[in-house]
Amino acid sequence: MLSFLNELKAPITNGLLLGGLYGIIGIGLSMIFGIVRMVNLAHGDLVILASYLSLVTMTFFPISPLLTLIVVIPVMALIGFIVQYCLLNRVLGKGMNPPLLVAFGLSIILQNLLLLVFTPDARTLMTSISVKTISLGSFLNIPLVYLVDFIVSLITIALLSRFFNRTYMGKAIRAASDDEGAAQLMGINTRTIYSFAMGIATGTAAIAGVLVGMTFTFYPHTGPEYLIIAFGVVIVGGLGSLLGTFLGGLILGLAQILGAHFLGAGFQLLCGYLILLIVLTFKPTGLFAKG
Amino acid sequence: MRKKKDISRREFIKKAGVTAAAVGLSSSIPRFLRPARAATRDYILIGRPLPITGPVSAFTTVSPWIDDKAIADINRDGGIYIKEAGKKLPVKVKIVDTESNPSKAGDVGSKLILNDNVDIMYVSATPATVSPVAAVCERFKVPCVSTMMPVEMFLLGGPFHWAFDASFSVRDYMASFLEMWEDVKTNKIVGLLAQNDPDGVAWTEGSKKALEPAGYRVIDIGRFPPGTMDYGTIISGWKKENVEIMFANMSPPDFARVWRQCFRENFIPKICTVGRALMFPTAVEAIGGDLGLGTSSESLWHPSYPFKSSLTGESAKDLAAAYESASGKQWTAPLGGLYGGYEIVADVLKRAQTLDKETLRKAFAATNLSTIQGHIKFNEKNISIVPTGGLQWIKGKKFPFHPVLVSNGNYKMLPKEAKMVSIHELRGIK
Repeated sequence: MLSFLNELKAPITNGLLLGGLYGIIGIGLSMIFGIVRMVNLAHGDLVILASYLSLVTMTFFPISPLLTLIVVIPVMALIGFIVQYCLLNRVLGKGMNPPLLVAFGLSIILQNLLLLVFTPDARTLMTSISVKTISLGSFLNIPLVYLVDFIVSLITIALLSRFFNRTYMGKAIRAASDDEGAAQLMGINTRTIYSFAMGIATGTAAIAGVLVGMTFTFYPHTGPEYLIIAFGVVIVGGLGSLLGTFLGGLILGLAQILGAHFLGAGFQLLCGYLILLIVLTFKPTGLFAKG
Repeated sequence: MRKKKDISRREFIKKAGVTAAAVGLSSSIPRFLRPARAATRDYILIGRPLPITGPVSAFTTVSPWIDDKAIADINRDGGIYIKEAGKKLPVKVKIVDTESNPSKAGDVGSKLILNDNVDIMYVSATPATVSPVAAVCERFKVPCVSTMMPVEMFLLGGPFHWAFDASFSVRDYMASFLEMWEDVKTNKIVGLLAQNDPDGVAWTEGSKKALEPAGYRVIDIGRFPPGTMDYGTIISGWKKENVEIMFANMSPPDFARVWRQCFRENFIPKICTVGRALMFPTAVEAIGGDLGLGTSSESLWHPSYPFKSSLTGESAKDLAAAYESASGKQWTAPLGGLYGGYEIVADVLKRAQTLDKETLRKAFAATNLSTIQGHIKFNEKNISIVPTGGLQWIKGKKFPFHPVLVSNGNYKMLPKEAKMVSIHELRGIK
């Protein structure tokens, strides 16, 4: 029994830490799902766009990728705001399909723009922490970059939930998402609010992008890979709930790595999707959905 | 209200009919009026579908530089003599993007044949581009040659009458790998890792057959799906079995994930040979820092190859240097394959002296030419295998990583530049 647990400690730690990264990838998609009621198919590409922005910043200032967030978050938030304000707001309220198509088009444009500017070469945000491990005696080795991913995700979620509960803007966003009509009657310009919400969502995509770029390599075409992860996280965690999305990420990460541990490497992704299927069957709104 | 709607609908049908008729006429009239395109055209047209964008576009980063150079070399003294025209005609190339998408490749292939009336099709880079275009050329009876396309994958679409493939054979890789592994003292325990896709599965089957008779023990923990983010299970399995040789076939981003995790978990094998992921220097750089140091791969083409351009007499080394000084970027292996195909096309046209498709096809079949990617002579299955070796990435002078040829497997004419060195030795690990 003890040796069994001993064998499990590494996959469980890795699964949880990877899950933290999955959570931050999913949070932007979940927010826009919950607030604007729109599926942002370009979310994965926005994540990768942020990775490239960080790369560009690093070529100008030789700083750690985490510090480039000072530049990347505002730029991405501005891009998100403009996209929502000028593009997506125009097609809102015209049914499910138009916003979906606009987002899909945006995804294709972003991929090809990145290809044009940055060529198809593989890139990475290299830091010394990418391959370091923290050793807790002989008990456990923790990959440092996973730990950083996890902590940054946790901080982001905490800050976001504080923002939504304490600030006027946060309350306005929640109001607009709960009841658009009533929020408008209270003097809230819901369209502007949506733009701010998108700005915040792409801000989280910026954080996800920098973390992904530090942990893995990226190409102009890797966006959809992360969109699928984000979908998984949102479905497991439930719409609109910040903590739920984070926990959804943890569950997905754990499911994948424990699946690989018990059943073999070929079952890693399958196990994640099986969890999705089970959640969809028994609790289609997600495990931690509000309301 | 209903009446109005009805009228507009009828009008719409009328308009649609006229448009359709106009479209139909405009596309058929010129064909009646022009009996033979070749006679009205004062140049030779080569159709060139290439994956310029999309996931496999890394193969074509040297394009259009290499296309421009090859065409300029062919047209150096006014082009190629064609009997029907009674004079030399210049060669032109029309490059179209397949977006790395097989159905798009088939589509642009037919358009090149039907709308542009190309005389010869020349297509390169991966099955996703070549297979559909070769199939279209078979259907429309247009001579077609391909490069940068493993002959095994090419033959899957056969038998071919009109399409020819001058490229490498994955069967040769194994001989190169076994040869270079002999240079490093290991316990001969191989950790096999392959992506669960056609390439990866073929790699597993082929390598197991070759490795076990050669005295290697293979630890195979199973195929993994593309896009897997964590490889902890596989790495701990290898650690347990004391693997010293990592042997993999996967896409570059997946390999970067595995290799970084190997370092995090302090599992550093003496040899790391990876197919597909380590062909391009930028992919080795993208693993991060100096992590790519000492990894090895198949060598599809290398400036040290003792081959010359049949068009200009330039050596492989000259070609790589010309690219580096023109682009400021490091040379990549597709330079040889992409240029070599133009040599075949030029040679065929010179011998055929006509644009008659059947004569051109026969001229392709009779090719016997030394090109920058090796000697080309098609067999009865329309393939000609070009030499490949094995390479190891070491620290470069001008660029971060430099590939040295460490084995020549089945092709002893390739000059080995160095012996393979253990990654432990390169990194100073005891």
